[in-house]
Amino acid sequence: MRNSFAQQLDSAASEDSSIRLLVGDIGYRVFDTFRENHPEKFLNCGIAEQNMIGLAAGMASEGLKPVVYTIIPFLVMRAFEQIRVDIGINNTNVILVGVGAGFAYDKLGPTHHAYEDIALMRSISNLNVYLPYDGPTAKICLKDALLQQSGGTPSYIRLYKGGEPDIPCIEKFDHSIDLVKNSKSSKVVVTHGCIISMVMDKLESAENDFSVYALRKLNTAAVDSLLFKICSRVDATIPTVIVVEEAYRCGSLYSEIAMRAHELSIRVDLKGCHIDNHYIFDIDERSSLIKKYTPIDEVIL
Amino acid sequence: MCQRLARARELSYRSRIDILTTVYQKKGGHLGGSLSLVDLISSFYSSLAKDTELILSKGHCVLAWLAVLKNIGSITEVQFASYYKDGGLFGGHPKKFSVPAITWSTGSLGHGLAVACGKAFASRNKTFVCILGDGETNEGSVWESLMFLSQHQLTNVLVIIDNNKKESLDLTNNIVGIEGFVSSLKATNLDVAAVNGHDHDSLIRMYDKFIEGQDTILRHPMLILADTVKGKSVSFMENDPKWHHRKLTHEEFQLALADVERNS
Repeated sequence: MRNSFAQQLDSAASEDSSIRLLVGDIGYRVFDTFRENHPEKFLNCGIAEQNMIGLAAGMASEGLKPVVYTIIPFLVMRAFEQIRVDIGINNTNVILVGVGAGFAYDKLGPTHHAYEDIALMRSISNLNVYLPYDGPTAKICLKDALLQQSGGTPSYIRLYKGGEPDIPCIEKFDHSIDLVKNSKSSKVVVTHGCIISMVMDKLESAENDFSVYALRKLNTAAVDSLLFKICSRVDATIPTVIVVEEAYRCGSLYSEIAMRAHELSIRVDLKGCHIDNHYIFDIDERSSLIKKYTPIDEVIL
Repeated sequence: MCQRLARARELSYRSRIDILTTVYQKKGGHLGGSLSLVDLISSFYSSLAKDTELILSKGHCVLAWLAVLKNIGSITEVQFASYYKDGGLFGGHPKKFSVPAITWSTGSLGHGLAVACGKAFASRNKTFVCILGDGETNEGSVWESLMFLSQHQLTNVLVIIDNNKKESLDLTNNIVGIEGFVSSLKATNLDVAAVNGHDHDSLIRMYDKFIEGQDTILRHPMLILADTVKGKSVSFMENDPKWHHRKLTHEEFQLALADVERNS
């Protein structure tokens, strides 16, 4: 996913002289090609994330197109007020790229886990929130974010790490929603990010048949569209919707679906599968942490 | 120079009256810091730097900026009078593009210098002035930005610290004093200097040096510690931290006006 993102950014920078990549001393080898091809467009801002956000905002106000890349807690949590004031309130078209979603940095522990970033970034009212789930969707999300940037809108892209499998997509809807598994049953799994591969693995042995949708861009319009789509295609009066996320429930896709279903008077049998709402200190691999704290097996039967 | 000096002094005098009158009438605004800042702003607009982009990182003292903008004719009396008024053009902090001179919304401390550095990095042929408070340097983000400024030698940024030596509750030295911070800066590749922040002559020369030095003279970015007095020109406010955000009674207002008249 990281490498796909870096390839796409390298390609975009070849066509747009305004693009600048700012990193917080993160991205070993990921941006080697970019640095080789565009040394003048690469800026290592050091371990100073608050300053990096202000710099990017200032650069954007002078007509450049900054893309800021670092590990999610250092980007989203450390520099949250800078994001709110210098990108949100001052409305500057910066692209923020966080790496290490959910448990991606598993054994590095809770300081490096990212369970809260979606909620935080969704609270910045002018920010697009992208949630790619594999290499190809990381490229699609970056392309869309760059288009939005040219139109003056900032974005947040939530990346995992590397080595995630690509997930074939059956059909794309509304620039935000992908159908990745089709079924005639009334049961639907909705997810985002790389946990999708574990969902797909589980579905191979599940007793029930499910359709699977993945959201690449989380906003109210996408959730509304998803709800209408689910309700229009399943036969049952009340479809079962299981939301699987590598994030806390607070401020998540699940909470947005629950809220919009209520506001639109759409009846769904909604179930959620999230990371437990506490800090996780276990030293273990990501897959084990997900099994323990995001128990897909208990909701997909 | 004499003409510009007289203009700066006149601007400061008029703006001090406006600051006091506005805070008295509107019951809003930061008096002490605005009075320490106003000579820095009036001198700025009387110098060669007047067309430079100004980022007021200590945004809570925007009233001083607005008063000077009014007195140079950059904003109208009506616009100025809308300060703190319901539905008005100006609140307690700078609002981006509320008027052409204000290009950045500030308010939370420790943000402005990073933005100024980003602008200066992107546009090396433009000049930027960023004014911070001494208390503001408690923010770690200021250190991050100064390190960046030094690393990249952005000589097109002039950093000024309005060193009025008081914060909201107490003297800066009783909270987190900045002497150690300033000593550290002298070890960086910044041209650190002190100036009397109420001496218009020195201030105009400082701004002129910054502008004239863009071609060849400046070897390092300039960081100026402006030695100022919080509540300057009002005797009962000077050296009393309670005037950070306090409002004026009618009697205090009259005394303050008389002080400004006497000290000008």
